[in-house]
Amino acid sequence: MIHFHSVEIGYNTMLVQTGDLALKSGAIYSLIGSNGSGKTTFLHTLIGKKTLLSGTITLKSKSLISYKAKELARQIAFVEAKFDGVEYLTVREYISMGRTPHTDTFGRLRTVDIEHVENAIRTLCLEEFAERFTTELSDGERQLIAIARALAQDTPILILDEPTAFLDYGNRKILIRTLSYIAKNLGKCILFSTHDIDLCLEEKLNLLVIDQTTRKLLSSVNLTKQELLQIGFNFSSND
Amino acid sequence: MAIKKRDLIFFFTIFLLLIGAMVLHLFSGQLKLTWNEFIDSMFNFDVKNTQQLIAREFRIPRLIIAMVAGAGLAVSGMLMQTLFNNPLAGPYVLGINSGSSLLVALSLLTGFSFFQSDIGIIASALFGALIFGFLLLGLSMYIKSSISLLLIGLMLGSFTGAIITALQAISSAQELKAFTIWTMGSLQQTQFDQLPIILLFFVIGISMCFFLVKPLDVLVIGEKNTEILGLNIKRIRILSITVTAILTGLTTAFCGPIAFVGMAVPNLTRILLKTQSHGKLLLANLLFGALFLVLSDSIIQLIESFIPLPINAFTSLIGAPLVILIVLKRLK
Amino acid sequence: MNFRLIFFTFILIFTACSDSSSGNKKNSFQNQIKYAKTLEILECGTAVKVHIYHPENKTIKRFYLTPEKNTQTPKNYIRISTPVKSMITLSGTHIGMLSKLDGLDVISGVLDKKYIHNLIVLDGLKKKRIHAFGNEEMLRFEAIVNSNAEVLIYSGFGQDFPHAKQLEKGGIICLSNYDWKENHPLGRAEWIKLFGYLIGKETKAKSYFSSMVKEYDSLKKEAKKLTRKPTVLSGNVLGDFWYAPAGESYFAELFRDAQADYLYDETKGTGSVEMSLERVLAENRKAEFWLNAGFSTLELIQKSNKKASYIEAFSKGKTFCYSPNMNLFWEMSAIEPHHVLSDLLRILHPELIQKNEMYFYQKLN
Repeated sequence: MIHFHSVEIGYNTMLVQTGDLALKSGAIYSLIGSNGSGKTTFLHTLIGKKTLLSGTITLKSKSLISYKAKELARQIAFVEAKFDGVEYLTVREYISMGRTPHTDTFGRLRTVDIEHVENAIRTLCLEEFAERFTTELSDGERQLIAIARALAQDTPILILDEPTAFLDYGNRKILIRTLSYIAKNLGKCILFSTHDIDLCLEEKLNLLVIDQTTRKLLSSVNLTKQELLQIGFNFSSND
Repeated sequence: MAIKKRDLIFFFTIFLLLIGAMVLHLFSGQLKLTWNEFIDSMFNFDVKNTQQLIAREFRIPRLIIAMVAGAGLAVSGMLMQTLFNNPLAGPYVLGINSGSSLLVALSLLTGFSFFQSDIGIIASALFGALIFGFLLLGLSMYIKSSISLLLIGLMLGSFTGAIITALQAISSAQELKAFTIWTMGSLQQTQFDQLPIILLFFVIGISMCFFLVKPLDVLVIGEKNTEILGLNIKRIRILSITVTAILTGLTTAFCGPIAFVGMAVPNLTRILLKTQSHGKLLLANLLFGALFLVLSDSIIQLIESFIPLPINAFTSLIGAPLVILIVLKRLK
Repeated sequence: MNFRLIFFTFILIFTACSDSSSGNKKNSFQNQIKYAKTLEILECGTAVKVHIYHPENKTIKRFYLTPEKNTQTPKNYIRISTPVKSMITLSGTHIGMLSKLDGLDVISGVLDKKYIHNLIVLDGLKKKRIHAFGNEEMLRFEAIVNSNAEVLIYSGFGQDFPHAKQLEKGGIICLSNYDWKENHPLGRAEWIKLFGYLIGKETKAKSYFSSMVKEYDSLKKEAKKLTRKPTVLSGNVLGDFWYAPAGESYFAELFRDAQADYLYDETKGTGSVEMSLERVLAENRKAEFWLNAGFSTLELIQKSNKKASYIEAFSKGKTFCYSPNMNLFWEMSAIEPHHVLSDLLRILHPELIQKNEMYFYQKLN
């Protein structure tokens, strides 16, 4: 799906450096790194908000920067860390916004659009919320409808910026399992940043770790928690 | 945008009320007129007949401009509120019509005959609204607090007032007096012959709104999300400000500043309809804005012989408490 | 020393003027005012009491005018030593009144030169003999304090003069002039007497006033004989309303004296009546004359009032106004109401007044 070819990412100074790296469909990747290590910058690069310092990223064998905003929005859906809800905006209306890159100038929903919205609602079991206002939901429920919106967008790639940050333990676990389910069963490529190392290890996700000292992005599934902490956070627990 | 039964009832009610208010407005002046006089005044006009003259040159233009101003300002307010993500935004509160007043004042004082014509005045009013609109937009990039933005709007208003005062000092008193009369705001100065050009600009402005429905719907979840969903945020901003400039400039050119309609009506419609769907809101603001101003102006006509009240005093009387209510309820 | 003082006081008490009610005519204060309602001038020998009534709250300002150095000032009175040699006048009407008394040389300060018509005053401004202090809302106070004027006369549009107390500490006495609040044309003109007493030319003021009243009354009497009363519309639109002079106002009085048929003659109030443009047009479309439209050309009227052209007097060229001579009107109309009346008669009843020229009014083109 996505290929990184010796990419350097950052504002003026380099924050993250990748070797050759490929993200595949049907897989879920969790991006781990200390605060300020460049996780969000890395994700933003993929949705076209930041420019590369060097190297190239290809998406479906086409250079990422050659995508127009609308085309990119049909390939990649993005979910922010927190959605506060909007007064008088219903869940269904919110999820329908995922269809934005697919609808015409006036935003009319065709049958196929409505199907995608209903599928997304069904996949995340949100039927009973559909007519509620987004301001009436809990943080966990809002995170789910944000993912539903991304699903309705019908993109092969799903990127989430710290989706677990504002959730309690139970909701985090549900969320990560839901994401794993979506990756496996809907064949999507999912990339999300998180601090929930334990959960990621438990769920045996693919880990991408930003090395605190070399700024290199390491890809591995076989790291122990201790190694992870050492690389990502310069934290050695010798006890 | 699924239309619910509840919404249908709402739109139908507002529509009926608007028709009722229009009839009330046409007949609430002090001189008694009949339907026939209205019809004759349009298709069989006899300038010697005072009844027909009143119908054609006073009642009809006054009704049309009240509807255009009410609808136009309400829609402008809706655009501003979504664009700035601020329930208190509106063309009057943000001082956008001050830009129109200023530019019209300046252009009138240049003495070029182009600026004395209807098109000239609309053009300068529109251009002034555009300048102030983009100025506000530029400032809003740096200022995130909604109250600060309103303060800037107030400052723009005072600033314009000061410049106009300064102009008074240097220009001939009479020229300026003719101008200041226009800036006091009135629905009574529009002429029958001006209605086609007014309606033309109104239709242009409103038609452009249809291209904003989809982007504005998405804009309520934030500018970043809007961009990620593949929409061009710069285009949305430019289009919104342009539409606001057309609608606000148009009303300011023909009736001067009308206070608070642009802020109050969009809030009322959002609360009544409980929706963020801008297709519905656009229709609701068109109808409700027209209804609001037509009804206000009818009341003004009906109470005129007891309490003569200028249109701006009346709309402020309703609008100002509403601002306070909204501050209490929505900004906390 | 003590004896002398007691003796002096004794004399004073016995020779002092008393109020007119106390019988003895020679030694009592006689009111000199007949028409003005906000002014009272009581005279007794060389002593003059001036009472100025605030038109709204009816409070009274009392002034004691005297040329004597040693007399006592009555309680609650502000003393002004006459004749006043240096005066700041903040309204055009004051200049007009002083000009009638040949008293313009006492003027040491005025508002802005753009409001002035009088050539002597303009010349004084040019030669820096007279100072300009801005306009009444934005006066340059420090310049006024510096000017060493004895008296400042202001119009006080409904309120007391700000900084009057500070100016009085600086030795400048502030007098309000409510001539513009007088609804009777002759009452307005009568304020000339105040200026007469202030600059020691009261005899001239009284004789001018009585001859002017005579002329005004004879014009009025001539007009009374006329049977035809032409219809008249007055005022103009301002924002949402048309402001027409109310029935008890200055202009309504003049219209009556000029034998005009003025539709709002019966309305209450001394200011103006507010009406919608629609009503005014419906009721006055065929009025023969439109007076006091507030602008100096038809084009400017049209610009401020798009629907003016439907008024027949406008389209038929029977629109008259003093605006082309605005400053002249401000300065002289108050003191020359007979000329205002004669202008109105010349417009409305050309058969009565033979001459062509008018003093203030012009036909607008």
